Amino acid sequence: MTDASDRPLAERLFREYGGRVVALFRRDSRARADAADLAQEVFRRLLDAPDGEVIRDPAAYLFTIAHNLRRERAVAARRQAAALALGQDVSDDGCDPVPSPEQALDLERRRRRLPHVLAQLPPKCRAAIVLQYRDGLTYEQIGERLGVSANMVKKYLGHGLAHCRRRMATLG
Amino acid sequence: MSTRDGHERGEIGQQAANWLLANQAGPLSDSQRAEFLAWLRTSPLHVEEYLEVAELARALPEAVSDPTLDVEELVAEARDAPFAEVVAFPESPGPAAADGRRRSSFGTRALAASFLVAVIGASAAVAAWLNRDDWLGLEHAYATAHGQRTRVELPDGSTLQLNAESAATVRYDLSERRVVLTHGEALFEVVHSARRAFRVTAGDARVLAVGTRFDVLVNSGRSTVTVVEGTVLVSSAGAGAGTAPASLTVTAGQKIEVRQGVLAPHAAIADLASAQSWLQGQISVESVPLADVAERFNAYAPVRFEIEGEALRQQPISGNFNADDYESFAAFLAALDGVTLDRQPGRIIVRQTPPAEAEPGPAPAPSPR
Repeated sequence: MTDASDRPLAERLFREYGGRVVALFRRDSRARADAADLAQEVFRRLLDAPDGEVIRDPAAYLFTIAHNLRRERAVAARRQAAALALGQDVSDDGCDPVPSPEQALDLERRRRRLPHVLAQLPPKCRAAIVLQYRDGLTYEQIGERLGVSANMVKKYLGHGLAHCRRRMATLG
Repeated sequence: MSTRDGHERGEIGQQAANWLLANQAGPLSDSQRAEFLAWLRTSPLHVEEYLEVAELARALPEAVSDPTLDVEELVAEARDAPFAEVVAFPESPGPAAADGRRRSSFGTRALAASFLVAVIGASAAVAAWLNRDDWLGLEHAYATAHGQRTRVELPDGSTLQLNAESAATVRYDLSERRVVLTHGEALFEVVHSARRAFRVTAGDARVLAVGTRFDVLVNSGRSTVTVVEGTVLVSSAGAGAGTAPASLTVTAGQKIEVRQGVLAPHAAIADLASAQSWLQGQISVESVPLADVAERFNAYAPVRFEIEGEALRQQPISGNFNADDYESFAAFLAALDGVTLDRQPGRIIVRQTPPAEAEPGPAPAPSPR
């Protein structure tokens, strides 16, 4: 607590007591690797998708691929866990993927972190996000409140979303 | 990740955000859809950023839902804020063409609620992707496999610890916090809230808690509620079961059973240590004050950790520990800069190293003693 108070505790723990704390960080990097890995596979399937089908609604197509992939993986993981633990077979019951405890913790942590990340946004971006996502105002209504054009509101929102995404990615 | 990669990812993230907004505002035009698809097919990074930004946007309504937030103040601050903060942000080749169309469409959806509806509509695809209630209706589902345990902290600071092979859903709303323990066992630590009741449904048992700590175990046809601290009200889902009481108050140190929809006539003495013995697994903390982490060890360890000095007590700790292995925690503490362990019979006193013994370096913090 003396000379090192200016250094993040986590960094010191890593240096001084690596083994015990490393698991926490491994979870972060694993979650990140999982996301990249998933994106890789979604990307591949998106490239393979017939243009005529995917062009109707690219976003919906993308989310469907991602959802199916997640479910496939969740079922595979459950099968594996069940086979290891109980010797039982787990069939694909079509249920939604249940997050693993690690995923649940990760989600929970990110969820708690988001309000803090939002609090650091420039006021214009933060106000635009609150007015839209809390109060459900249109771009024009937000623009009237903030004294700017609807087009500018869209920029604040885009900037705000991108900033939050960057911060969340940095924080893991 | 190199700086260049980080910068590139940041730019793609900005484009992803712009595309997401364009998609949420309504159907894209033919040319925009082609452009968007081409953008997605640029690289896996584009796909990843789009998925991540979409997930982020889904979490926003909850993240900004704080009812105590003073919007007027925020708006006033925003109006006064320097314009450059936003315009200085690099323009990205996002769906700029969408703007004109969006403006014209605003006339037909002038109602405040209609935009929300549009967002929800656009989110249906997102919902299909995640397809979990925990993102859509603020309902969170948790499940543990064999040999696993998990600890979930609710937004209000209440916690729910799930034993192995258990499942629960958690739902918040303005008037109550509701947990359904589908199967297995959970220990609840409920933060007092006069505004929001905390209700647990477990098999036939119904538990109403205010600020307390209690364990609920669901077996086939039987639910057991054990109260560690405070008081809970337990009732049965089975209506009018003969002479059985409708509900009973259960206090610390007591337990009660609900069997086949019938509430036991009175509470029994509980063995609190055994009711919580399953907790003797992993202690995982992230930025938890040292004093709190020590308390968790003290619940299991044969010795008691006593942390001296407010600064040290508040020192955030992160890591995974075996709750049974208090010696590892002691070793962990001993490895911290400027921390001294004083082992005494039955307890370990943790304090800041007196200045004379501190490592050379900047002036040490004053010792609390």
